[in-house]
Amino acid sequence: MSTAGHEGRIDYRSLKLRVGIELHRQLNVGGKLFCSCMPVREEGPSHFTRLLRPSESELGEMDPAARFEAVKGFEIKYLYGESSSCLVEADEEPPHDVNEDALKAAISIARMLGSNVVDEVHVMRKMVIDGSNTTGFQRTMLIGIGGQLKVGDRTVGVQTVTLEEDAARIMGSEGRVKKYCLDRLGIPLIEVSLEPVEVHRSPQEVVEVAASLGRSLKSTGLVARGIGTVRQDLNISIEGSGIIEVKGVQELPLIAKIVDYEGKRLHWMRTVSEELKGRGISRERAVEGPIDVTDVLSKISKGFIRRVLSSSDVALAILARGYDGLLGDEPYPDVRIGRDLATIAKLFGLGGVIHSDELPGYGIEESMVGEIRARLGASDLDGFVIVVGNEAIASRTLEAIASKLREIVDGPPSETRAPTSDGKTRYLRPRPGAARMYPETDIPSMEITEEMMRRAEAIIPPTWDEQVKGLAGRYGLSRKLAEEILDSEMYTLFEDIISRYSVKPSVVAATLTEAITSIRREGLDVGKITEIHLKSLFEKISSDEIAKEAISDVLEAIAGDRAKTVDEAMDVLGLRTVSDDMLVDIIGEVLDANSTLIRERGEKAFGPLMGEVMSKVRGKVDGGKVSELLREALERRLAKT
Amino acid sequence: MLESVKASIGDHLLLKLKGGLEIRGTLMPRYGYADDRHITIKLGNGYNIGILVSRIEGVTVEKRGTFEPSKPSEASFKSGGEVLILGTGGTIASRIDYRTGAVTSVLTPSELYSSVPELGDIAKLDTEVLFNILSENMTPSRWDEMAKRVGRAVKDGYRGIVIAHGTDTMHYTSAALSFALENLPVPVVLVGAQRSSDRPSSDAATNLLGAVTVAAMADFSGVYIAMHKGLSDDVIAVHSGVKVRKNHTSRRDAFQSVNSRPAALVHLKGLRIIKNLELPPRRDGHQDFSVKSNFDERAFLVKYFPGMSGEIIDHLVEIGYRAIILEGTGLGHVGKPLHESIGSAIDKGVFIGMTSQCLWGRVRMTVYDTGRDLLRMGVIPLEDILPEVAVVKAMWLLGQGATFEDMVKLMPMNMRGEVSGRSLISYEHGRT
Repeated sequence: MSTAGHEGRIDYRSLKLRVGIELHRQLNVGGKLFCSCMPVREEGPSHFTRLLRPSESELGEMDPAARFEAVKGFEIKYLYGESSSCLVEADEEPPHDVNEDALKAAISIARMLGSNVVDEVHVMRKMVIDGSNTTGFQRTMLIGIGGQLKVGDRTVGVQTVTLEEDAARIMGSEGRVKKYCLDRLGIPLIEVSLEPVEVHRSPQEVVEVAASLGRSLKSTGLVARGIGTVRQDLNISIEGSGIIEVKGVQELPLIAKIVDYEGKRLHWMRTVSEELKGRGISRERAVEGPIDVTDVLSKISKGFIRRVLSSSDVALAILARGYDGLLGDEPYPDVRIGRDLATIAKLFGLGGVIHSDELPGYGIEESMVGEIRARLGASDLDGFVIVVGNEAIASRTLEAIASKLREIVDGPPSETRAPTSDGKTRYLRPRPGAARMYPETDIPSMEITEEMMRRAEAIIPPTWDEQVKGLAGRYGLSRKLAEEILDSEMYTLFEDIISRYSVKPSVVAATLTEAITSIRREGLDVGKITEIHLKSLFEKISSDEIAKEAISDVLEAIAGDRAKTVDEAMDVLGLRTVSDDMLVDIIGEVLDANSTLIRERGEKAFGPLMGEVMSKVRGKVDGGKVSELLREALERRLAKT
Repeated sequence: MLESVKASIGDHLLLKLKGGLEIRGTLMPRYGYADDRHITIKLGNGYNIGILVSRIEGVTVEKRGTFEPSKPSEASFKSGGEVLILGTGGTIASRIDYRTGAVTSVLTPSELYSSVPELGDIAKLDTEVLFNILSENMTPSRWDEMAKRVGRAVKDGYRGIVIAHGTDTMHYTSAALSFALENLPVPVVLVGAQRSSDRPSSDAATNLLGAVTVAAMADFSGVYIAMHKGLSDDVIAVHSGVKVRKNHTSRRDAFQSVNSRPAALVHLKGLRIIKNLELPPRRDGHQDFSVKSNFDERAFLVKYFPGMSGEIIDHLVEIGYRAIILEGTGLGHVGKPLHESIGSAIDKGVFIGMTSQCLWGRVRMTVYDTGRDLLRMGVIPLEDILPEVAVVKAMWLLGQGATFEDMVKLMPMNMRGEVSGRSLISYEHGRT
């Protein structure tokens, strides 16, 4: 392992680790891409169920990703409501004409990035049969080719700018039924694909590129803000590997972790592939079987295998030629072939796999291992993989596993993977090819006229710098705060709050950026803080029910799960405000108790008195008001004496 | 320019555009109605784009290619089967056409069979392409052709026949076959798709499963249409061929039984058939079965609307029509300005039958004066027959040599289940 440094660190440069970013962002143009439904969040109340089958592309080939999804054999349940879905989302009516504002916005973004806008736009169907689209495909159109993005002193090339429809929102699955909600389906998305960047020193370089692209898009004012409106796909490769497409990374900080993990994983896969070649294994000879080993495993007396085998399930095994020791080895944390094979089995609805490197185990004794090896004709260098389950599903699962084991022989295979919340990835499906693109026959091609170009260019916004300056001036924000809020997913919320409530914009901006960041740093779950919480918080500040000093306490109480609403947080924190009358009483009490101090120090007693009053009312009354009332009361007291 | 390098469809090209941009991709066909100022290129990432020809400065063919949008396949597939699938075209057998850019019919029944292999688990199938047209191009002579082919298939001993058909006029064909196939001993099931077979969400596969299940396993005979019952891929409704109508432009449950319940339902889980009505039983022998497939096209369907004049009736009589089916308002009315023309048509021996544009419900012409006036003139109320079924029945009766008197007697009489004696309270009308 020449590229591995000490303690699981790797040298990205010698691996030739390259990462292409595809940024997807919802467009905020009102309406959906192919119908007039509203892009609002809505779950249910009605539903229907569907099955999807792969179909051939116009070139007569079947897409491998589509085939993989099809053999899994799931039923799909779609939930829908009336504001967000019509017959178009339900795949019960042909798509309407492309939303002109979305097309204009996409052209405008392409021009901003220096991309060449195509002369004629063709809507395509991208085969996606995991159920996330009722049609079995995502409608997408290429708007721009080429262009560039400046990131510090680096220039990153733009490959393409496309306009597409967002997919349905997955709600989970019950058994072999997957559940999706139609509200998000059809919302216009802009996708910008960048040329791969080579990672030199740190995956942080990739984060910077993604952040910079994000800022450019946000600066247009044409994209939606908020959780779930942005997703990044990462196309990761090392020298000698296929391309790994990691789908749907929502948070920027996760990108660095994922790039690092994939670098390590690909490095290990390449090592495995070299080892297999060294053992004389070819792709064709890598797998044999499956054979039925139910009778062997039936000898197990207890444990989960015993339990599943006592139903009508079977145990099937394949020979993994040359794989002995390579299935279970884990050179970096969670980088292990066995882990990916188990994921494939889970995608087919099975519990996982049993492979030779973890045996004897699970109640499978040495003698049984020997018997299975003998039946498979396994040599010392060979491994095997067993799955247990319904016969048809088990054999389809093993087919998918076999093709993965064959692919690895020729180097780390291309695949589509999903990010995990701790910055790793898991196998999702084979990587789709060009075979999954099929013209959308329901919509004729559209010529991009000079008039359309002119109108789109008219909405290209001022530069980022100009926008930051403008914002800072308009609301009296520091440059840093203005930049932070403009870059934030909360920007739309910021504008909304200051237009509704009379609160200082700098307080709102600081809350939405710095306060929330520091709560996150404390390790609390800021995901619990919703727009509703924030609006209710500022409403109460604007009506003097809460003092701005209490903002962090309230948000921490919500993030820390001590309160579900702002009202609850106020109760928990004892923040019910003190009325003016009560405040006057409290000040009176403090003055009474400190008559000596007042006598001795006169007006100079204000400081210590202020401190004492504030200790009784902090967070319940605005400090300015305390100061004002205290000063008046103190003056009156001094005048009397 | 493309000609100068002899570029043809399917070739991999390198295009140099004004401004220095280079584009690599495969030259694709232009749709017949697309303009000729652009060419279509499929890029390596699968996207198609259009490029203005006037922007191209140079073309190099990097690799010659071929382009075959669809594979030719054998017209029929024989294996001595139990069920015959006949292809007639339509969405169920359609994919992209590069001439128009829209979908067109090309898939053969055997291709359908190979893309829905579960069909083979239900019965041994034979497939045959009878013709390949979109259903708006269907004609009575095609009904004749279909009926005769079904007749031979019945005599050849098939347990059932499935006809893949375009949906737009499928209910006319089902009515025509219902009349033409007398004493039919087996089920004949028409089936279509509202979403073309080239998309993963197509209803073609599930509809076909339902249709083949009925053709192979049902214990009843007759002509039916099998299509989705609702929006879910779970239940296929089997409608009687004379009580069904396409009631929606695009939904997969567009077909509905009108003035009837669906004859049966097929639950796709477990392929269970549940009968909703008394249906004629499947019979072994076919001694009394006969094909009477002659249709006389001199029957016309007129939809009445406020302001319509009688001239159209006069003209129809003049050019030789022998039966006119009126789609009147409500219980069976048309406005006074038509009455004279109607009276004179009947005097000339032209049959005039009344149906209702309400579709749901029965005509009853004794309730209002207008109805009684029309009755007195000799307009024949056609009970709860659907207008489309009535015009098909008129063509068929005329084709069988019916006289005016025969028409008056037979048109309102139930022959194939087209007239229901009772209007049940539970019949739905439309959706909410």
